[in-house]
Amino acid sequence: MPSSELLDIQADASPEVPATPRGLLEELLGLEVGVFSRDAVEPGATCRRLCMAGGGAGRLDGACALIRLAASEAAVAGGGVPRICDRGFAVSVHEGEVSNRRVVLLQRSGAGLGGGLSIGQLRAAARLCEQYERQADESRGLVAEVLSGYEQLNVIFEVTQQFGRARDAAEVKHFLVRRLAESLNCDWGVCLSEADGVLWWSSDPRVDRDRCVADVRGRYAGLVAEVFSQQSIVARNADSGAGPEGARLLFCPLAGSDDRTDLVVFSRRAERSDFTSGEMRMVDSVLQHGQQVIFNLRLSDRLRTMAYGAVRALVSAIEKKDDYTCGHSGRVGLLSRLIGEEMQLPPEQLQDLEWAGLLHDVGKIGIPDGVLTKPGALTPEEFDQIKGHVRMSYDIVAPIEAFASVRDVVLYHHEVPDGSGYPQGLRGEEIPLLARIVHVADTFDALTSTRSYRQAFPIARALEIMRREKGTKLDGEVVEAFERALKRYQAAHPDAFHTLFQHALEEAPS
Amino acid sequence: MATILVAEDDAHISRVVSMWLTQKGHRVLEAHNGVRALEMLRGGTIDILISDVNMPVMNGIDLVIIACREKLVGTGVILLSSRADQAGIRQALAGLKVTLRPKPFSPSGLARDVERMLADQSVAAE
Repeated sequence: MPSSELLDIQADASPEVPATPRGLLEELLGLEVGVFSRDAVEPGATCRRLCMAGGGAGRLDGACALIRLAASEAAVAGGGVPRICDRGFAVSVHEGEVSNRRVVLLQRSGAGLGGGLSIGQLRAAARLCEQYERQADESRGLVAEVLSGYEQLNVIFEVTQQFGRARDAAEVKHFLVRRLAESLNCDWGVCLSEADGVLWWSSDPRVDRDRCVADVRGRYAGLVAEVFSQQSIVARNADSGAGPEGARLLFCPLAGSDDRTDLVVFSRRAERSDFTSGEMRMVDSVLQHGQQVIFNLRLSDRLRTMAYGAVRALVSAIEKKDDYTCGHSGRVGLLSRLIGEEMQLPPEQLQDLEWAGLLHDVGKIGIPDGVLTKPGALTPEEFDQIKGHVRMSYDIVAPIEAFASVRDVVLYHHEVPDGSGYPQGLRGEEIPLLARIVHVADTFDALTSTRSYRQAFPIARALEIMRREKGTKLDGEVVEAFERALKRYQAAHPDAFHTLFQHALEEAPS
Repeated sequence: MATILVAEDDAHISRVVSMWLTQKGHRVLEAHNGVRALEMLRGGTIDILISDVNMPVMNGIDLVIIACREKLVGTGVILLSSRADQAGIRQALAGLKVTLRPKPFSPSGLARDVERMLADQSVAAE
């Protein structure tokens, strides 16, 4: 009996390269392994032909065996009686799940079948390969799940960020369409919404949007009805009636807060692939989240409208004291906002302008009626009282945190570029931009309104007067922006325009 | 199409990134810490480096700074960073041309980053 010698087995020097069954089989059994893809193997192929075809090809002198790789137990049990070819034995070729036929050719170099390679060894080798392929498949599947999860998380993060930035539901919906279409590697995506119209995205500007939308509405009307009634996502892949040129389609419902459902459709070219259940789950998850975001957006919108409405009502009450200023603050708010839009100010500042316009004269509540509606000239003391309204408006607004950026606008809305304004006599750029804007809007509305001391000027005349004051009593740039904004508003909303300014006698600006 | 080195100490994440990019047709190598990554960068022709930030021995930021300084990466560098720390990382990288991808990374986004880098490279070469 040999003395026990401990052999020092060196650990594998290259840990980064995993040992594959092929590598192991080659080491352990001296087998050469060749793998054939689907195209090289037909049913009933014999190993002789394969030996000649390649992948260990031409070794007619070696024993060889075709080992079947089964993706499931059933397939293993089901069939595959070994057939002995003239050079070894073969098991029939099998169709795998994902990459179809995978056939492993094991060849013993230099020896015939009788020369030392037992069927038991070959079967064991086959099982080893099977196991490996099964685990590799499982691994691929798990990785796909993880990647899908990652993608989903990213889309959800981004959709949530939209809530802070987006102005309305349409923006969020459009974002959902684009972002999901990108994740899914689609050619185009669209949201068909009663409330927000057609929100379209395409990776290729040449895609015919109208034709695609018409297709959805026409050809797939029945399917769409089903999607709405079942409230579930439906895919049209190759096997279930794909679209034009074999495009894969995905139809998804997107519930709105007003009980109406929008339709979201994605399309992917045939060469890419069918929509998988994993992808459908991701889309479902993201759209659910998107729905929530849209709902919250609508809610915050509604709250804002309500707050504005409440303040408007209160301001109206103040204006009722003076027949001449009815509706003035609302108009100044609107006009200020229009100027801000014309000057391309950001959404928060547009909001501020609207509020500032509404609140700028709230301090007038502190001015005695006699002074406010005096038909004649004011005494210096009375004039001081009038000027005091800016400070009073400021004091009323100041305690409200939400109106922090509105305070200064209200305080300075009577400052003018040449420094002759009040309360502080600021000049030019010292006056906050928003205050300069409100001042212009306020001036216009005052000129085009009948007051206790004079008639209203027609709009064209008012604008003329204002142009002459550019640089002195009115900011030049703001006046120019105002003229453009007014023209634009009149063109876009002629009825509203007429209603708002009918008190300004006849003429409209040319 | 590209030879990509993934420097990430978490074996599972490394695997996921690796398999994804291999699926996209690239050749992917892995390193589990900054020093090993540097060795591999110095040793061969790596087109793109994708690195995590927190790694033992040498972290991703130091790795990227050295790799850029010694011009070890042909086409581009992507840093997988935590969502919270973007600003701090950008400051640490001070002006180096590195793409930041927040974790967990968006697979479609990462694939697009790689495509874009390769496209820019071939445009620059013309």
